[in-house]
Amino acid sequence: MKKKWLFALIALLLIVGILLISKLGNTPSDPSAKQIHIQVVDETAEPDKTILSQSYSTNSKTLKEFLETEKELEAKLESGSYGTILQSIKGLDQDMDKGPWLIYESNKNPSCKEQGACPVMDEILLKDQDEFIFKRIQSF
Amino acid sequence: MRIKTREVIYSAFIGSILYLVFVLFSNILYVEMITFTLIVFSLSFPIYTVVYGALLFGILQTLLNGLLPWNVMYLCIYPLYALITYVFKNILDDHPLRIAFYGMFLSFLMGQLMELPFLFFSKTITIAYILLGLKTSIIQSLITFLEFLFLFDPVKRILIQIRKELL
Repeated sequence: MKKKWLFALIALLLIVGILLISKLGNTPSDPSAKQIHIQVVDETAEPDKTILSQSYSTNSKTLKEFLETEKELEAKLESGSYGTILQSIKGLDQDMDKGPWLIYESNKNPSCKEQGACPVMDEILLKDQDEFIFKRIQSF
Repeated sequence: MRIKTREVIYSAFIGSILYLVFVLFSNILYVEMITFTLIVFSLSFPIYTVVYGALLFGILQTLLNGLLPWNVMYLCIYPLYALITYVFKNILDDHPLRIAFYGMFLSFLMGQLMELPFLFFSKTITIAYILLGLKTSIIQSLITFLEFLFLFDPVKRILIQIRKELL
């Protein structure tokens, strides 16, 4: 009787083991995931201060979606008449009327490159290996 | 050989139970009870009725689900399993662990034998199917092992009782 339970336990452990191994083996990185690099720079500080420089893996389609989902960036977004406006990122706030302002640019993203400057974040389609720099500036 | 009415009824009963068990568990991943059912019948009912029952199951499966390679394999393999079990009856009877290991092996083997008809199409495809199905076959055979450990004795007792009452 004891033998029976011992064999049953071994069989159960084997089943769980095989399922776990196959589960772990079947979780390769999502093929649709994109690697993007984000830099946050405060240019109102003297000298310029880099608050963050980090790569992220994301499935988001647009920059807006990415900022909404990536909590680490602490992005505060507001809907404006032309699209979503970034009001704060990593504790850097902007004042739309008097400044400082938050801007973002990218030398790699096709949406930004095509137009010479980045459009509203709702329209920035993320591509793998994109790089974005978020800057807080005092004057244009 | 003349077949008695009672034996025809036995075969029909076994064939229908096999088909029912097959359909009932076909949607539950990794769980198959047909090897267990076939073996427990082989060890408690007259062997030719079980072989006829297994043939009936294979015919039902082929007629209802199409003349497909795997359905034809059911038709060939299960009657053979019943016969092999009967041959090893003396070795298996009253040895719960032996029966459990035997059932586990047959259940595992079934998964591999089912892929054999693909040899007619391509050797590479067959090997690929066998390798892809290996995980499923192993888990399925381990579950069959558990079925035998816990269900074989009580089910066999009930079946023998049914057989005695029918006689």
